[in-house]
Amino acid sequence: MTTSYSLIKPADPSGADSPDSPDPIVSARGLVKSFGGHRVLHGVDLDVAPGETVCVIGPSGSGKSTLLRCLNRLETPDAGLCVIDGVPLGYAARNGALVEVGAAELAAQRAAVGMVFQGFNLFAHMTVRQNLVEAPRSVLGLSRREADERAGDLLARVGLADKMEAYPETLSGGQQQRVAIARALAMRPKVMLFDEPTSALDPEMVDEVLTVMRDLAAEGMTMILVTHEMGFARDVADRIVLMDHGAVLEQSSPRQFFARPATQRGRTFLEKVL
Amino acid sequence: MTIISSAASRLDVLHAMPRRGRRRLWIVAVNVVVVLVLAWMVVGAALTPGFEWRLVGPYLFDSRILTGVLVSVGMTLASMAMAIVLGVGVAALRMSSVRAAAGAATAFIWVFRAIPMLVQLLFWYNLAALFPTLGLGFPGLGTVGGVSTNEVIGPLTAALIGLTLHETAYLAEIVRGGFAAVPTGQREAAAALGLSPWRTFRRVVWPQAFRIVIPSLGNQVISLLKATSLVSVIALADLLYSAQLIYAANYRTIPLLVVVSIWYMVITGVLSLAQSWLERRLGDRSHRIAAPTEEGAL
Ligand SMILES: Nc1ncnc2c1ncn2[C@@H]1O[C@H](COP(=O)(O)OP(=O)(O)O)[C@@H](O)[C@H]1O
Ligand SMILES: [Mg+2]
Repeated sequence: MTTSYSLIKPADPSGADSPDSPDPIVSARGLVKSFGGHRVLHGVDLDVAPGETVCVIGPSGSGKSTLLRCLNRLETPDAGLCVIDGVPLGYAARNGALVEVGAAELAAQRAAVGMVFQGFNLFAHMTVRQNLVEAPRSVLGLSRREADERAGDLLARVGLADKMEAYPETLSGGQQQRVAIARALAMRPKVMLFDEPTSALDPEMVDEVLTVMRDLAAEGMTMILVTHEMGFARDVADRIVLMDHGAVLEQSSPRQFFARPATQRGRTFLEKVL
Repeated sequence: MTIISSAASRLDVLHAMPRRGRRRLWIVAVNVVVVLVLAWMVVGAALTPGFEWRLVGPYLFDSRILTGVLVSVGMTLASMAMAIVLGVGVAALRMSSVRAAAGAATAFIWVFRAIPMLVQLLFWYNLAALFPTLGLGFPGLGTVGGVSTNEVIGPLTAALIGLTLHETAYLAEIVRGGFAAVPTGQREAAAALGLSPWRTFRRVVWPQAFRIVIPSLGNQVISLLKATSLVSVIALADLLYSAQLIYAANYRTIPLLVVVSIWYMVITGVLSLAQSWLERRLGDRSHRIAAPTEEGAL
């Protein structure tokens, strides 16, 4: 690993259009990932400021999911580093050098990053409450009472207070995804990653999930969201990041982007999805 | 279009009634035939003098037979318990990313599933012929702790080793299938939440794999019970061999085989009940909430 620890300091603010450019809470540098000789990410950089909502869009297969999964190291990048709130994921600083950490320590680092999947991935053998208290109890060491209380608050917040003891399979897709969001929030993450959270939903359930996410963004949660919901991206995002062929093609404010993408490929993509 | 489809539906109505009536008649006829055949078989068996039914009752609770029952059930449970532990271990090796470990596990499964149970039992029983003494051999230095193989591996040990290894090979594959059937999304969600790999296994993967594996596990216990009857070839007094010892002396072969069959049926029945109870209990846990209104009404 040749990357130096100074990467945690904010990089040049040219890419993002945040005028005051506070220290980024997410800072990814040079992420490279290949699958069996097929290079999926070509050295992606991404800075996200605290409280910012970034929407990642782009054609299918452009590497959006892989980027997100490299950010919380569900996928180990071949090169590059992701720093979350000063912590380089997967590494520890020892005598000024970065040393790779073991699986258990990496797991603990991941707790700072919440993730919501396209397929919900609720623990099928646990009730909604058990889904919400498992990680807070075992990773954060909360007492049963504290964890239950936190679960109750979050479920109320996503409008599912009455589903505490239900099993996931008895819930609709929209309800399951709201539980999944609450489960991630129960860890009090510093940043939330969403990978196409509404793509697996019936159309009539999309709004109930988007509403929860809209509230979350308004409350100041830092969010990185892969989505095909262009309306949501336009309304809620602070920044649009367009990916194509494993690289960031352009990034700008939604106003700029939806008025006229800067690149020809950006314009072609937008014509197709609108 | 509408004319055709309405004509078609009228045709359906015309045919539906008599066809349904004819089907019901058929079902009644089949039921009657089945009952008659069963009755004929039961009465026939009861009246066949060769069955010697009056001997079945007393032999059913003969102390030698009861001891045999205990030996068969005990061997089943003991080798099943050992095979579960070993099977999970072999499955873990088989799934490991260490090539040599995965290869060794695959070879183990192949060998012990391919060789018939009966052959394996004979091998273990006759181990003394192959290695007269057992101990740790060091080439050029001789053997440490050599004991006579025949002393260590009697029929019971041979039977337990044979049954356990054979069963381990089957369970390893079943367990591996159970783990493979847990969607990867479950592991990823656990990892994303910050659960350690061990915690993910304990709390997320294992409980779900276990649920998937339970029905096959039940079937394996029943097969294993019946496989224990093979130990009669190495002169171990299980249920079957105990009966064979008795009828070798008095030639009451048929009633004793009836006694043996009844016991196997009773034990298998109990095992099946236990299995469906366990399945229902595990199933309940994910369906309990499915219909809250109906449950409230009860
Ligand atoms: N685990 C994997 N193994 C092999 N190829 C993969 C894997 N994950 C993703 N890919 C490939 O990487 C490319 C980018 O995938 P992905 O990041 O899922 O794109 P997107 O989310 O933008 O649709 C695709 O060509 C996909 O087939
Ligand atoms: Mg994707």
